Amino acid sequence: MPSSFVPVIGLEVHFELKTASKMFCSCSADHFHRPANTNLCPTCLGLPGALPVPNQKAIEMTALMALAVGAKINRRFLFERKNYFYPDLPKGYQISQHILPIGEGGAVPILLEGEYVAVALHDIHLEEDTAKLEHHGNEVWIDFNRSGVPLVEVVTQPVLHSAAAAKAYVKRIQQLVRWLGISNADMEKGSMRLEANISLAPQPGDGKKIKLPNYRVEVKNLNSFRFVEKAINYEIERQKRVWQSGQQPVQETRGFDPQRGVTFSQRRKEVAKDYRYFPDPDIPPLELTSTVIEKLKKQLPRLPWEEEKMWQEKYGFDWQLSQTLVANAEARHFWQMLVPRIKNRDQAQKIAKLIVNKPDRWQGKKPAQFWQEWQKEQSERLGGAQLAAIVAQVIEQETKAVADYRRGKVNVIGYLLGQVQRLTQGKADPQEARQLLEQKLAKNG
Amino acid sequence: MKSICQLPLLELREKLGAKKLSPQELWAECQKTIAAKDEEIHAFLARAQRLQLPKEWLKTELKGIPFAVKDNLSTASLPTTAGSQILRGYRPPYTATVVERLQKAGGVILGKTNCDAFAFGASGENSGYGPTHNPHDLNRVPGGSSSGSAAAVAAGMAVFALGTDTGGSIRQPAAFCGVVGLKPTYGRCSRWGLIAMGSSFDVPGPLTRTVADAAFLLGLMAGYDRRDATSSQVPVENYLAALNDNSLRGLRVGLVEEFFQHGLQPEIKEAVMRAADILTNNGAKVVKAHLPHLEEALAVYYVLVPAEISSNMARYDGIRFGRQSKRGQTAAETTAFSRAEGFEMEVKRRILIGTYVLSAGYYDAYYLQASRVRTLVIRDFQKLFSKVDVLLGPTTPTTAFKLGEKTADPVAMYLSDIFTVPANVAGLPAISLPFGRDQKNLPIGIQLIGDLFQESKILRVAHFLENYAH
Repeated sequence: MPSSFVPVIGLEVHFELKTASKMFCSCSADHFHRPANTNLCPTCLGLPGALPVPNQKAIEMTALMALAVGAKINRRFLFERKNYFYPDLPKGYQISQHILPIGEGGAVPILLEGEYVAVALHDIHLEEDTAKLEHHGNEVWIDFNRSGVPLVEVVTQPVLHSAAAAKAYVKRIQQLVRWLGISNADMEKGSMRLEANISLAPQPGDGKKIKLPNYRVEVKNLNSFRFVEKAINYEIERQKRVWQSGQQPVQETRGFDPQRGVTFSQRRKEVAKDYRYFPDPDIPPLELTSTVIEKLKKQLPRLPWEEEKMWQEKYGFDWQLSQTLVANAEARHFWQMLVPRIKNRDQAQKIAKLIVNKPDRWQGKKPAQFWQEWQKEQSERLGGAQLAAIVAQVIEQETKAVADYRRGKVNVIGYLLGQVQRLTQGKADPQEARQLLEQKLAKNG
Repeated sequence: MKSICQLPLLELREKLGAKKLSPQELWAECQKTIAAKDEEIHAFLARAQRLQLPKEWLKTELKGIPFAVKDNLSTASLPTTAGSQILRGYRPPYTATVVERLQKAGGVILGKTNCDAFAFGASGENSGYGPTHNPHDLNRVPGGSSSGSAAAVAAGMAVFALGTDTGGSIRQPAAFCGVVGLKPTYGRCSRWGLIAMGSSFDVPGPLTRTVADAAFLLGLMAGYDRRDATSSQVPVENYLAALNDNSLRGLRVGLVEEFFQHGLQPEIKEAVMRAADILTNNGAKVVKAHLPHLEEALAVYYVLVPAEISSNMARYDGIRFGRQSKRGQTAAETTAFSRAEGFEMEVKRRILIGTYVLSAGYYDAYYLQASRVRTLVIRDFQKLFSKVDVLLGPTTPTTAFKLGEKTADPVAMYLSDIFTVPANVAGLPAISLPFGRDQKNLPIGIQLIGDLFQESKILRVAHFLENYAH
């Protein structure tokens, strides 16, 4: 039995596309909060003789996603049938993609402790959503409104090694699909859903590669970022205990109980499931033409991670600031409207921090109004020699606080800052004041 | 005396147009024939209660002519069971495109015709509602799977009927019943509403009294349908007008050598040779042709079709439509019992074969290999059609066999499709027309196969030969 382990995690993220109609019929793709079984037709109900006609818009949205993560686009791709019985699957098969999905490979850059890490993808494929089951006592009710809604599945390679990384990855996917305008990716409404495959591999020796274990545990029903993190951490600990008891964890599907914060066994997979994939004979092989791909490439915006780096380079933002700014759609929008007025890094940093940290200062305002107020405030700001003099005065007066600081109680700097602001009637530049204080306190120490 | 509804569609159309006949009279005549004959023949599973004439029927193409529809084509006005117990009582909320087009053209549905369950069969004996009998000899099968459609036309119960052809299901019963059966190019007629058997093989088509009737109907049925992604955008021709060209000069006819093996009944061989002579004598050039992968085509068919069937049959879970078993305690059991009770033996057999050939570990050896051989068969035909315009051959190895004769031996039953299956494997148009009778006075069918979308050519040759049928 190995003495230490490294978690090996792969994620499957599903999101519903924001198309007008369903994947293979003309019913509305907007199924949320509609009266049950009012949004259906022979095709999405799987009636005998009904046929699927692929939604071109959904295909293009999936290709856009694939382009965004640098996946290889299969110009000729196939829809295949994934055969299995379940009451939520009206045809007894799901139209999905297997050997020739729209996108293969690619990577999603995430930020882990200030470093960009590329999460390698296996594939990006397009399929149809299932119906919804409701359990009422002994009965199972089926609502087919969701049946046939376009669903994209993004599958990673088993390359994630912590719950934090997994969480950062799913957040990034949500950000990206919203950024591209292809999905609402709303986890509460179920338009984005997650499954994690988790196993523990023996910690490899220095410089050696991780040897993938020959089992994996699939955890379903992870419908919030918090649950992803909790479930993975729980699973890592559980599997560790199994290993430590001298056994190998079994390959199985587990659910997550958010109330108790634990995973529980749902289905043992002694034998791999056989979905008997084969090309759907109702849909001829399809092609993404160069014209379409060129159009999509032009449509592709600057991506979130590119924008993060852009602000870092242009204005010297640290990664937290650029990440937070880019991740918050409303703040980012306001910021973008101010950018043309910004003259230097110092201004940029001050404004970006203000937007990120003090939304009440700008929400509901026009950029011009905000800009005016901010400039006025800046012009009244005390700085330079005037401020230095006041800082010196405070240090001289506050002997006890200064002594505390120098003994290591660095928190008192907040109190000292308060004193500076009191003497300047709040007009001191807080950043500059803090810098001056720190310098002086260190110098005389 | 022949009843009115024994007349060809085009003749009736003329009479109706000239007001020498009313749609009501024609309808009544069909009803009378059905009442007299269908108890013995059992061609119909469901019948329309009354004539519902379209508005301004006189201005329509079909002027209220009644037709029968194979029960695997969805009709909102009548139950649709595809000949299977699992769909007992199922009434679709929509109508198949080909049926709808004929209704819009002024045709009226007489009823739904019996067929092998889900069209799996060549004799009609796999129907979940009892077999149809051949009007020429009630002890014999009408062929299948479009059994009721062929029998209804042959017996004068319907002016024409719709069938579907996956491996010969229009042509083979047409041959056994002595009527014309046209299988169009795959994709020529929409499959929307056709209850799938082998989705990459299925095609709807007409069963008629004359070749001209078939040409006329194809013109009404064919054409792109946005609801079927496999339907073709190739323009629809005026097939009826194409028949006016009755010159055979320069026409190259291939006589497929391999079609003369496989236990071909001598009288059928003679009929094909007689047809070849007629064509030669009228200026066509008849040459020997080879279809080296004929046997493989049948093997390909019996791998790929069950594969598609196994998946196509998965939707019959007893949940949303059709018959639901009361025995199940859980959702899974309800589905299992509904399928066990509702599916006929041949359906189960094909689901098992199809599931097997798609299973992990067998997929490459069966499904994938068969798909590759399918490409070889397609190439065989491409080569042939670079040298000839049409292929001539028998439709079936024998004339109609007796009820029960082959039910115990599925392989013998499968072999009765050997001459019709290749056209489906390659998606080609083909037509069977009656061409004389054998010593037992049973109809003989001969077959013409054309290149993709060359329906006009086979119709033209068939139309020419029709005059020499007897």
